[in-house]
Amino acid sequence: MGAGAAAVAAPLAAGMRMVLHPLWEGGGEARMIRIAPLNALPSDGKPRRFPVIADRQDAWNHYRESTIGQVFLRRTAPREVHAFQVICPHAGCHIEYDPEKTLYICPCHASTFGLDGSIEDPASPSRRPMDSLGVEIRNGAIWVRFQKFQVGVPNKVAV
Amino acid sequence: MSRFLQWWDRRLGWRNVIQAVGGLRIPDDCPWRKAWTSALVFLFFIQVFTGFCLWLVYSPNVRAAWESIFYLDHDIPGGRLVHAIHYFTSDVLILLLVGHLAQLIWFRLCRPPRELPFWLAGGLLILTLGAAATGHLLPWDQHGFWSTKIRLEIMGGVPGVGTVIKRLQAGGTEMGQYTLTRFMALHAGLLPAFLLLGWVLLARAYYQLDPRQEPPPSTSPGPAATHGNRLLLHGVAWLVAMAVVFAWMRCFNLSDDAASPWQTPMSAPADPGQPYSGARPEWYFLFLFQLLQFFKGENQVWGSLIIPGLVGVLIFLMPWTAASRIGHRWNQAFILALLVGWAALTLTAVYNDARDPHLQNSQTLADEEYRRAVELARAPAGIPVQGVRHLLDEDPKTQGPKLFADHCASCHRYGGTDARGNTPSDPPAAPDLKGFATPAWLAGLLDPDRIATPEYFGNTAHVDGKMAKFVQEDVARFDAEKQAALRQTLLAIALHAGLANRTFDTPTARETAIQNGEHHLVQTLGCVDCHEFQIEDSEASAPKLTRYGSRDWIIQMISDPEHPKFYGERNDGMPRFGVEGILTPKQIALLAEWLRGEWYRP
Repeated sequence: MGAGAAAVAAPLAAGMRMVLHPLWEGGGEARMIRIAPLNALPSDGKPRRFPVIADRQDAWNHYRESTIGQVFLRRTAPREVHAFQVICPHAGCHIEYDPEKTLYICPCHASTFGLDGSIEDPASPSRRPMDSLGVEIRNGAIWVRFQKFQVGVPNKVAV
Repeated sequence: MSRFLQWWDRRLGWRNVIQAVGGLRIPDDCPWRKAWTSALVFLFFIQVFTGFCLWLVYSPNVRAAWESIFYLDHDIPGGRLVHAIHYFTSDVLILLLVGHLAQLIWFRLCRPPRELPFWLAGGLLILTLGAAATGHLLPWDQHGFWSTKIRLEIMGGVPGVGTVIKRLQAGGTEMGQYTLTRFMALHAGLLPAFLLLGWVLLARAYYQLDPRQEPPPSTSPGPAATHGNRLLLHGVAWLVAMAVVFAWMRCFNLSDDAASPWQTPMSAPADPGQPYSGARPEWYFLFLFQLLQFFKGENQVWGSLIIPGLVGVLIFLMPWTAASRIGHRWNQAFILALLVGWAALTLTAVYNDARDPHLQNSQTLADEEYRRAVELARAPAGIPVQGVRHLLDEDPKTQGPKLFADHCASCHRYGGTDARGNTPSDPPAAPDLKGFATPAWLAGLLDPDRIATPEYFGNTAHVDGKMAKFVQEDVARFDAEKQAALRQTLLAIALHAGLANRTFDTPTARETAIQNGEHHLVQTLGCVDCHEFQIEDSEASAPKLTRYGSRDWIIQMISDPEHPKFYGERNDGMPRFGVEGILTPKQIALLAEWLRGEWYRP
C-alpha cells in the first residue's frame, strides 16, 4: 500500500501542480500606460472611450502593442482627467456611455452609473460604483494606472 | 456465426460484460418512456462519434481555432453537416434529459431503489450542460468568448471559492490560450469520460431494476417484451431522435445558402480587446441571465447561487419526498412550476432582447463582422498564420467605421450616423463624409442651397468663409455654360482621386475629360485664387486641390489639418490626429481607405 502510494506520488503531485498552477499565477499589478495626448480629450467634460494598448503575454505567445482593455476618460478641469475601467463591476460586460441620458449604461444587465461613476439608481444591479483608475498627466499625455478588478463583489479587489 | 461468437465469449466473457451494463433493457412498462431513454443514450453516442470527427480537424489555438472550424465548414466534405449535427444534438440531448428527469418525478419513478438512477440522470444533465458550455467556447468566436467570459466573471464573484473556480477554468487571471486548451481537455476528455461512466452506471442500475430480476409487480403484469420488438422499439426511438435533431436544425437554420442548408451559428473570431455587447448565454442558460436581472446589488448571490442551489437540493431530495402521497403531489407541482418558470424566464429574456434596439444594433454589427470575416477568409489571398482576426484588424471596411465612430463622429457624420448605426444626439459640427470627394458629394458642396446646411459647412466656422461666399454668390449666378464647366471640374477631381464611377469608351476620352475639367478649374472658375493646384503656391489660403480626395490627400488632412497646404490657421477645431499622436499612421491609413471605399471585394 505504502509502496503503491510512493509510486504514484511523483506523477500525481507534478500533475496536480500543473492543473492547479493558475491559482498561484501572479496578476493584479497595476501598469502605468500612456493612453492618449491630453488634447485628444474634449474639454466639454464628455467621457470618451480609449483603447489601452500594451504588450501582452498569453501562454507562449507574446503580443506586441495589443489592445488589453479599454478606459473611459473624462476631463473635469483643463489639466485634470478622471479614468474608469469600462468593465462593469456587476458581471464584467463592457459599459457604454449614453450621451442622451448622460449616464454610463451596461448593455447586459442595465447597470447605470453617473458621470462620476457612482450608482445613482438604486435599481442598478451593480454592487459597487465603476472602478476608477489613477491618472497622471506627463508631458501633455494622459497616463493611466491600468488594472482589472474582480466583478460582482462589493469591494475593488485587483485580479 | 454462433461458433465465432462463442470463441470470443469463452475468452472474454463478453456476454457477462454486456449483461453487466444491462444490454438494452430499460425497466419501464411504458413503451414511450423506454423509447425516450433509449433515444438519450443513442444521442450521447452520436455526440461521441461526431465529436471525434470534429476533433480530426479542430485545432485548439487562439489563432487557429476559428480558422480550423471555418475550414471544417467550408472545405471538408461533410464537415458542415457533422458540425451542425454535433451542435444541434446537444440542444436536443439537454431537452430530452430534462424531459427524462421530469418524467421520473411526475410518474413517481424516483422512489428508492430508483433514487440512484434518478440522481445519475441529474448528474448526467449537469455534465451535459458542462459539455455544452465548454463546447461553446471552442470556436473562439466573439459570442463564445464573451458569453464564457461573463459566466466566468459571475462565478468569480461567488464568495469564498469564486476566484479558485474562475482561475482553474480560465487557466490564469485572464481568458486566453490556456482557457481554450483547458476547455478542450474538459470537453473532449474529462466530461465525455464521466458521461460515459454515468451512462454505464445508469444502464447497470436500470438492469438491476429490471422486473425480470424481481417477481413481477402485481399491478402491471404486461407481456414480457420479446427480443425482436425490443429492437424495433430502440430503432424507432433512434430514428425519431435523429428526425428531431434535423427538425431542430431546420428550425434554427441560419444558412442563406440553399446548396448547404446546415449551418452552425458562428460569429467573428474572438477579439479580447474589443467590447462585444451582443453577448448572451445559450438559450438553456437564458433563464439564469433573466433571473439575475431581478436581484440587485448584494442580493445578486440569490440569483446566481442561492436559488439555483436550493432548487438543486430540493430536486435531490425528491426520492424521499415522493414517499408520501402529499409529498409526491408537491414534487409534481414543484417540477411543473420549475418548467413553467424556466419557460417564462427564457421567453421574457428573448422578448426583452428583441425589443432592445441597442442590442439589436450590436448584434447586426456582429453579424456584419462575421460575414466580413468569411469574405476575407475566402479571398484568394487565403488565411495567414496570424489568423482571420488579423485580417479583420487590417481591413478598412471593418476598422473604418469603428475608428470613425470613436474619433470622428463627435463632429462629423457618415450618412447621418456615426457609421456604426447610431445617430449622435448632438448636432454635427463638421461635414458629413459619406461619399467624400465623389462627384455627388462635391456637387453638394458647390450647391448654393446645401453648402450652408449641417451636411457641409452649416455648423462650422467656414459657413462665413470665402468658399461659402463663393458658392452662395458666384456659383448661384452661374450661367449654363459655367455650370457645365463646374460639373466637368468636379468630375475631373473625382476621376483624379479614383472616386468617379463613370466609364469611358476609350482611355483618351477619360484623359480629355480630366484635361477639360482641370482647364476650367484653373481658367474658368478661378479655384486657384485660393486653392493650390499642381503648381506650388505659397499664397494659397485653402486646402490644396492637387490630388484632392486621394488616399495621400486624406491621410495628410487627417494627420495635420493645420498644415499650410490644408486649412492652416483657419482650421476649425479638427484635431491634428497624426502630429499629436491621437491616431497611429496605420489607423489613419485605414480611415482614409475606408472613406474612399478601398477594401477587398469578393
